[in-house]
Amino acid sequence: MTARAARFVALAIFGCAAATIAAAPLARRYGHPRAAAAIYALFSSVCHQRAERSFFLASEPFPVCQRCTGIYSGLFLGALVAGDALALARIRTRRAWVVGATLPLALDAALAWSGIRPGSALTRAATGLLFGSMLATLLVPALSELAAELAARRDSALGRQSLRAPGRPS
Amino acid sequence: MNEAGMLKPALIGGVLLGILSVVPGIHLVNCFCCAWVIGGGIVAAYLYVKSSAEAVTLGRGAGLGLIAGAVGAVVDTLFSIPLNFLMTRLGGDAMDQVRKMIERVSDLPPEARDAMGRIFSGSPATNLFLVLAAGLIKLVVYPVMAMLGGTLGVALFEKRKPGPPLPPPPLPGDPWAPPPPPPPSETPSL
Repeated sequence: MTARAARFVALAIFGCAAATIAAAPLARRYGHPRAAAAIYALFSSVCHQRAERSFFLASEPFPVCQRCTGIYSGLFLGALVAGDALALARIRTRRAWVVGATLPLALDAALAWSGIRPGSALTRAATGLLFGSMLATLLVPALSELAAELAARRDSALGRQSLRAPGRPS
Repeated sequence: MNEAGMLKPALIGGVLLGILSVVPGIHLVNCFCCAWVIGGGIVAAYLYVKSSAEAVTLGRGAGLGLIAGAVGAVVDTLFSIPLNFLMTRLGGDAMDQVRKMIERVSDLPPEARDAMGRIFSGSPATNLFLVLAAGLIKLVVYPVMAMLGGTLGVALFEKRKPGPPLPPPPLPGDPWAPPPPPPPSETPSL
């Protein structure tokens, strides 16, 4: 899989996730309660779904909270712009990017949890967006590398099979 | 890809995330963006980076996370079945009290009373079906989330530069295999 194909796969996965999140409140509002219930149930395993911490569409809450909405949006936007640049970049730069994008989210969550600063919809969504973009910029090269390694392994196995085949001149 | 070396870290990460995701109370941490599942992927990546002789790529981290997530989903579902029966049996008296309280509330609409009664009288077969259905959802969600964790773990813990891939070991008796390198010649000490 080339970097472009990996980006396409990541875009398809995260685009589907983002579309499903947006579809849930619309389905609930416009007379498809079973479909809406299935989507809310699916996302209940990954998010607390508290309505006071969620964005609303058509007067219905999203099936994920504001932070998770930011993360999923960041995954999609990050996959749009991700390339091989980060995979080729220096290891220290990559680690700094991971820590720098995770720290604001962790800090915002820790301050809210401890009661020092409650946080707002904007900070939750923005820190989630940054974290999600960082994950996408790692995941796109990771998918590309994983596919390349699997292809190399398959080719190697095929080569060995042809070596084992009878009738080969020695 | 060194699968034998990947299996042990993936199993440890998977079992860990599966158990933490099912223990009552502790499992609520998963409400924060599947934290236990992503954490399991990170643990698997950390263990693999520590044991690997060569630099681990992000792709291997993703593969490792996928395996750990699948293992975690199976472990979670396997532990959920007996735990669910145990909780239903232990909570039987509490459920009776809830049912009596519902009956005592006079101004509750009849359809709401019926709906709440159905919720609090789930049979074991219904519970088993719900656990297995949740298990199927987890089999999709956990590998994706743990893949993110595995990638994140490699990005955090791998400090070595990736080199060229090692050639596969030759088959025994393979006439096309390159000859083994000569042993280091012993120089007479003067």
